[in-house]
Amino acid sequence: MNTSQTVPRQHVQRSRMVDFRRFLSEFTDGRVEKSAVLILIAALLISVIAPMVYHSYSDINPLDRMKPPSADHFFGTDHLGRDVFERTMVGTRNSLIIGFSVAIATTIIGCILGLVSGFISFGDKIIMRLMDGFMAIPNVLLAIALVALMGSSLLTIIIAISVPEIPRMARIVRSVVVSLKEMPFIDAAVTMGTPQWKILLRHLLPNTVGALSVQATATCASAIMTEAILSFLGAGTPPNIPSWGGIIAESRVFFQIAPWAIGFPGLMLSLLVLSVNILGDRLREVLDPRVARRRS
Amino acid sequence: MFKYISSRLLASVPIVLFVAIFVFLLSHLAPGDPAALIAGENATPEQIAQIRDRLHLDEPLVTQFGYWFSDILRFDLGNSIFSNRPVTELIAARLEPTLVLTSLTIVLTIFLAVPAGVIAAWKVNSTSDRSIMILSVLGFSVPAFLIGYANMYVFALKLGWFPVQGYANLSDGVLGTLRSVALPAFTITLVFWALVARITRAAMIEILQEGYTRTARAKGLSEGKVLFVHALKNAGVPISTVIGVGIAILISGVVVTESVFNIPGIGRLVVDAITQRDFPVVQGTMIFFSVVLIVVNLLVDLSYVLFDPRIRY
Amino acid sequence: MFFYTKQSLCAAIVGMALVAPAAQAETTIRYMGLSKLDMLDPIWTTNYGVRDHGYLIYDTLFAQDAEGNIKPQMIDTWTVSEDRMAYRFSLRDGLMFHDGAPVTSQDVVASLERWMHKDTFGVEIKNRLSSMDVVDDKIFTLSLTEPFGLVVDAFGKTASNVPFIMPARIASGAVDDQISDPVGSGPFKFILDDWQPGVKAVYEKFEAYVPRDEAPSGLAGGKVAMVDRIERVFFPDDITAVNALATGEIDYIPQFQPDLIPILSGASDVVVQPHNPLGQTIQIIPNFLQPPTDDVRIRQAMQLALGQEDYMTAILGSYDELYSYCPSIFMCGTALENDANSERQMSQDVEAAKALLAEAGYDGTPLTLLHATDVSDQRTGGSVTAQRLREAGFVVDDVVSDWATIAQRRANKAPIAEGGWNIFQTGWDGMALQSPLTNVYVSGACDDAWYGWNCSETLQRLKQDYINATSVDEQKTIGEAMQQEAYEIVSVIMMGQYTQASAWSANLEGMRQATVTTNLWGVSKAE
Repeated sequence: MNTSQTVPRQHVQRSRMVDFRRFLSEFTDGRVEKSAVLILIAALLISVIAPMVYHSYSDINPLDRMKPPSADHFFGTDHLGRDVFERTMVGTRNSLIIGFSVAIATTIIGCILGLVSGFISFGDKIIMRLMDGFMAIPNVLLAIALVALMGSSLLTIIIAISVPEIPRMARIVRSVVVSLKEMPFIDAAVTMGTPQWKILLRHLLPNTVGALSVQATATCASAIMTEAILSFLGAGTPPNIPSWGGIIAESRVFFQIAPWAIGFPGLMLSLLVLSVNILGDRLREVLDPRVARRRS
Repeated sequence: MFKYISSRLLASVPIVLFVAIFVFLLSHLAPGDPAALIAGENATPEQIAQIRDRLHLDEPLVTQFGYWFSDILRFDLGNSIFSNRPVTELIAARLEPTLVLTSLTIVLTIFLAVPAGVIAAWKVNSTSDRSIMILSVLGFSVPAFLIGYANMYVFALKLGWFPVQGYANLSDGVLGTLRSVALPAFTITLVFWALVARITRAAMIEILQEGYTRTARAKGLSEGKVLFVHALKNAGVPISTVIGVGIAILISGVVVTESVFNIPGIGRLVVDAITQRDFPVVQGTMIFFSVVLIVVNLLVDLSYVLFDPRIRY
Repeated sequence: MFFYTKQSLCAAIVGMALVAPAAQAETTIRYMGLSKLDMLDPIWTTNYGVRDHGYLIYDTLFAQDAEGNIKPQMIDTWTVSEDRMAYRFSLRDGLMFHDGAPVTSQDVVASLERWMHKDTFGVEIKNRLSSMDVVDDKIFTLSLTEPFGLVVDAFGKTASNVPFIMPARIASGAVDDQISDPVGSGPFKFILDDWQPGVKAVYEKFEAYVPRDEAPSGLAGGKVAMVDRIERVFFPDDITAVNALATGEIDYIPQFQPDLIPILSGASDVVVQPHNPLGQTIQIIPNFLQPPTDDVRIRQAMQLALGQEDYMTAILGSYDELYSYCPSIFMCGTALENDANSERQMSQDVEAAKALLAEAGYDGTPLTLLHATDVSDQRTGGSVTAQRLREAGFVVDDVVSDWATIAQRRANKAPIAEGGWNIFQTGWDGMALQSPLTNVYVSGACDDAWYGWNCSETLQRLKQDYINATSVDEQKTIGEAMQQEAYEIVSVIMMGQYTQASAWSANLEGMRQATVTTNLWGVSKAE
């Protein structure tokens, strides 16, 4: 979401040099960052464990509808009598899968497109025009149209959210590559007759890591949000695949009557997205030497 | 400048063309039969077939594309296959609410986010800086529709300050209009301001370290004047850039809040058209949006001239 | 409309208010439309939201009163020959279209012709029609090729498509197309310039309308417009509409999710009450053409596995006064209501279902369930169906998609691998199911039947018997036989009868129950 600040700066030369342990300690200093890391770890654990423990998350129990939180149902029940706690716990996995898959898919595809168009310049014009075209359609609208095209499943939702995000990623990679191409060490490599693919992999790719990881984090957070918006607009995950966004969207009309059914998953979603965003910010600061200098 | 504008516009023609073809394929290849939706849930197969026939839905895709594209070249976006009204007319009728809503959001955002960003930059790394930053991340960590329902509950139902839903036309009085879009605009602002606050902060931090702000301070100008006149003017470029980039985010916020508050804007027009496979409307509105995004980005680039006298086109 | 918007745009840009129109001394009812009104032709579509729009602006020859009797509305007197092959109708005085032209027999005949071309009940008449003739401006006749006693039932039908009367120039100018000029002769007229498709529709009182003398009852009787203006607004979410009613922004919600009733129950100035006495049903339709549902025992096992209570409580919650478990394929509270052969239909017995599956030698071939997730009832119902069938030992392939996709896919007769299906859920209005001529589940017409293609020679024969029946008792006996057969072959599984909650502001006087949402004549609004 917060793409504009990710315009690559000087992190280029540094990223590989950063000692990982120092990076980690720098990365997690501050209480806010520590809590964010803890929340992320907790969410990962839940998403691994919950599906093993809970199996009746989609079981409908019409006689037990919209019950407030109790010892039987920690988060209460929804309008079909399903246990909101179980759904939220299992939903953690689906939301994380969506967030991470979108981040990974857009990074890989965006990276390839960006490298190809920035370095090989073969097809630069075509690729960038295509990217401009995709970017000229508002994200959410493109995603809804894609879900209408492909139907709704975890995979199609991931694709539908990824496609509109790819151009952004490709542009970022391309701009890093284009600025690096002028650098003397690339020139030197070219004159020494290093094959192009080697230059790409050895010199260019590693230098995009900083910008990419910042953007990937932002994409991960925004993908989880976008899924919630898609669910709200009726194009989200199917009912037997609960996601946080889906749970909230399904119960939203009852926000005055059964607030627990949106409150708890809403809280989980917001906490996680908040954590990812905070870590993204931190990542940016650590990877961008100018910001880092200012902080010390 | 004129040359620059015309060359930019010319360069965007292939983009719009790409959008047109892509969206045509997207909507026509999607499963789902608009004739079945027009005829209704309880219709018979014969009734549906009659409608398909009248709407030329059985003709080959290429032929349909031919019809549509030759219309496009004459700046005719076709008619809705449901209401049979021209798509341009539908867009025009829905334009006012969306335009008012987005304008108010942008104004609110600037008034909220720019001072916040400036203060954060001024007191960089202080508690107020950190809290502004965390508050701003919070904005895009809560789904917009939840913020919308919460606002509706507090400000419309409990306090009764604003109507729950609907849009009052400007022709019936500006005050009524503002009241009707206040809550939705505030809702989107809570999501959107974060973006602007952050870029303002980042830009201001850099600018405050540069020579001329130090000179201005040395000259004895008040801190407020240094911040909000000298420094902020130079931060105009990145701020307007982010508003341009953010239009896409703004649009997704608008689509959602229009549904929550029942504002009859373009966002809902598109979503409804996609769900019921009203091909001409889907295609027309997507083209419309792409043109808007292109023009907004052009305007943003042109606005740089205002903020930075060094920039010339 | 375009000009108007341009004006408002200018206002937006200049930032100047245009002069506000004169203060409203007139009375306006604002209500939530049943659906988006993005079409205007109730013959072009069977959509009930459009039908209800039709009832405001058009008049009908006959209409159903609150007791379910068909009463003359535009008709003054009518006669039928003893052999039920010749009908003669005369129009009452004072009928006038909104454009000022009088309603003549020519208009009626043209409207009926267009309707018979489209409507399923209308087609039954058309198939037996020898001629329809204009005698003079007021009188027209109908002569048939074989006895048919249901002509008046058809003219007074309330289920889509309703034979609304429109000017001949419009009806015969667009037999196959959607009309664009909504001129009727009803108590309200449509303001085309204020129509925002999918958003808002505006109706104004038609001063020249001459109502009948009788008191209004159901859709029959005198239709007196008592407010100046009606605004129909669409709401994407029930919750927004309910809150808007609570704050007085709208006056009337014809249908909403009963779970939201508590929000309104605190408000003293709001009346909450069921509106449509007959209501709707939910049905599960099996496909007779594709395995495994082509086997009657499999269908019967489904009948045993599914129970009405699940669906009714899942959709309507604890508001049990809004629904009933109804054994009748013609719905309850209708002339043909009966409980023939309904033991399997009404009992939910997982063990018996399993036994029947074993007997049928069910090999685990998946049941392909079409499950729409963007329509609230179907999203909920689909989850119930999948779960209960699995519990009974079925393998269920729960295919989720949006309604637009299912509306297309359900027409596919092909095997599953080629895009076919086994079961889907739908809903019908009681008005349509009460008559064997419009109830698609007792047609038995095989390839020509509605989706599911239920197939039974017995049913086809019974339908002919029903048409030939001369007494109500005879009709009832035939109805029972039809249900006996339909439940035996499982052309449908009935999942309960319900009516949605309805609510209106207490300052609306004269709200009456009816099967349409727009019987707003006879309703006045106190300021």
